[in-house]
Amino acid sequence: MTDARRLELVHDLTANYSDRQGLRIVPIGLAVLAQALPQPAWELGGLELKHYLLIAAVFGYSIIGSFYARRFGKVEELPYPGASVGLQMILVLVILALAITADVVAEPPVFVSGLLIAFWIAVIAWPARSVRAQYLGIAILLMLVSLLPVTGISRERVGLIYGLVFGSALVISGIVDHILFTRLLREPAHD
Amino acid sequence: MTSQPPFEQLAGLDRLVHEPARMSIMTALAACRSAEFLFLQRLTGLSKGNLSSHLSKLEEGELVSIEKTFEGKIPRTTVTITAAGRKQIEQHWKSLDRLRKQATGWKPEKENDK
Repeated sequence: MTDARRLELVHDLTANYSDRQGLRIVPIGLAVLAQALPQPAWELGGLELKHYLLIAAVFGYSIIGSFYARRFGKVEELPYPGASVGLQMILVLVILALAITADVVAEPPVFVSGLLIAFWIAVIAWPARSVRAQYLGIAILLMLVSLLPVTGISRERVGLIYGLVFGSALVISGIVDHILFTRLLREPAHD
Repeated sequence: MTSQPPFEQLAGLDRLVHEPARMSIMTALAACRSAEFLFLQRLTGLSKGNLSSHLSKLEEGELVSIEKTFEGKIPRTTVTITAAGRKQIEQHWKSLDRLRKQATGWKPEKENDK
């Protein structure tokens, strides 16, 4: 790695510190995978195992964040330019809810909500394309899966394939991000 | 400055910022609001003593500010880039980029070959 390339990676890592803590998205990826896999007939308090896995993933994101802070130190990021992250999340969730409704009610020839998620990943990944090109690859893969109903594959099956691809991609990308993270933030020397 | 050969301009670069560990520190600090000592130690791979020495030089040059606090019983050292520091590292990056472009197209004069 050249010095200039290393400094580019340092700048990207520091500017997007919480986002580059790859292990944080691994539980989310596992929870997405679990939604697509066959579930054991187990229920507690009206919730199935896959629902508990989603809740665990949300807590896992925060707990793993604390691990990174203790082991690698904290960074206060610069405020996000444009609309706040919270407002953007609300907007994305509203649009996603509309897309899911369109998928269920109108049953269009493509998987609209899947396409939307893929497009969102591509938009987020574009500024860091020289550092994390794998996310653009994931977006393209998810777009292709979203088009599968056109080939005659049932929408239920496409939903399962989408969950398997998306979940696996999140797990693998999270691990790749973590490896890059630990390469840049190495064990310090001792006095 | 631009009429000088690129290698002479290289000698004129600000050494306070150009030293590799300090350039890493300044590049990271320019990309955030503030960072903890532990993060900068991980980033540079330096020992506590060496990193403190580099940070003191940057603080003396008024390029960073250092704040020491306690979180419970745990001491926390937070480093923030100053406005002057941000301007300095941005200018330094521009100088390096300009030098890189000039060095790519630079050819020695005939007198220098003799």
